[in-house]
Amino acid sequence: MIRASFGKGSALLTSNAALLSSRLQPVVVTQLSHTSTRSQTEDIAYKEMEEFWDKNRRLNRPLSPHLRIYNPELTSMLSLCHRATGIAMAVTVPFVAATLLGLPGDFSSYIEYIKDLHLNPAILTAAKYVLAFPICYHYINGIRHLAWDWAIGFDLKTTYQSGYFVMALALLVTAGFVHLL
Amino acid sequence: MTYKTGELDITNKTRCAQTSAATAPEPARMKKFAVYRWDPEKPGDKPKMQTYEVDLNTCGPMVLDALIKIKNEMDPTLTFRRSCREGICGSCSMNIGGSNTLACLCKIDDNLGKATKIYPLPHMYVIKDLVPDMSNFYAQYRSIEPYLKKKDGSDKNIGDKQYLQTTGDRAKLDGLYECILCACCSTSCPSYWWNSDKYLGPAVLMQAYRWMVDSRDDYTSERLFQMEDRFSVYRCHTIMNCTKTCPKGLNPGLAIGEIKKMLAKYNSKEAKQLAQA
Repeated sequence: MIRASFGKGSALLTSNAALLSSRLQPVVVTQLSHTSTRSQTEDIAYKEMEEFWDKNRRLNRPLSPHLRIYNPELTSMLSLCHRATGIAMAVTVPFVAATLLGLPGDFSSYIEYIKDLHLNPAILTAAKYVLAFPICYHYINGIRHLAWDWAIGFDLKTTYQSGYFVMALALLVTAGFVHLL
Repeated sequence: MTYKTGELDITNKTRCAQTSAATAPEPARMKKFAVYRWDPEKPGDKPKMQTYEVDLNTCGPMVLDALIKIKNEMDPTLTFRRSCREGICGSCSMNIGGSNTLACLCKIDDNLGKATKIYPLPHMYVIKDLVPDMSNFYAQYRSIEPYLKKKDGSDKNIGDKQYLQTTGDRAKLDGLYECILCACCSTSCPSYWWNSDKYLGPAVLMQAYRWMVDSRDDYTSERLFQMEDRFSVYRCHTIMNCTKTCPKGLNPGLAIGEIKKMLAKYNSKEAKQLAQA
């Protein structure tokens, strides 16, 4: 049983939760699921954790800077990209689908409408890149994540090599979709 | 040997020339260090950066040498943790140039045009200057019970016999036992930043794995069962900042991956019964 849990799946929610939680830390720290069988050591540990939050809130100590000072590494940037593309798709695909369901006419009539706008082809190509990249990147990085779930490819060298490979392949496949289809 | 004034023996002359050449002053190489400062005893003080200039010609090669030089010669109020100065105690962990590492192992960047930025470990409560409050980290380490647990029952026979272990089983601990608990990895993890109250973090999880995988320990299932909730392990999203930043070259990300695999495979019902027995 978890009490006062803040963090959920998305980065946005967790960052807001972090802002909240840094000000309002739960008075009772998480009790793990095996409360009834906790050893004395664990009891002492959880007590120490509670005291930590109480003391630091009371003393109003500053939190050391994090996002604004930490080096953007390939590891964290690719992970952020995975999350961002995931959220982008999770939001836009149902939204577009629901909108098209509600609006009159069908999908092809809207494509005709966009064609009739006679936009600069560069804008259309850019828009195609923006639409194609999330699914390409998220899918290919997803395979990298599946390998990690089997604990394959965790050493730093492989992580970096696979990271560069995934990004390069995603861009290549996106370009393929945009220019060849 | 007696000399007339101004007249020197050849060997003495060359020796003098050599020493005078050696003591000709080298141009000072001034390097800027921008260090995070905050004093709890100054009422209303806000954290800020303070820049110091250090002559690299009279300073050791590592960032810790520069910090000690600053404290000795320029500003005695600069506060930071340090002990072994050789990368084994884990005291001087801090954020240097944007990455978490040990100051005693981090070579000063020779580029005199750029200031080296030094911050405390990210997203930690600051006690003073570069000193973070590590109590939560230590409490989390304590919570995983990082010691050998046997099911023999009797305490009377402890120490009578060695607990034997094959070389293969001992090899499983390589890359795990070397952790010095400097907290560089945990404080590099964005997930730990947002959830440091409930997520255990890479350092503690790697040590939990170290005990799970130790063949002499009898409580593997119970240790795994302790992780059966949404936060202790599963806040890890394989960001892999931990492995990138570890100053000892260890791989906490791999250890967490292996824990997740073990959690998927072990018999949790059995473990629950064992834990509640």
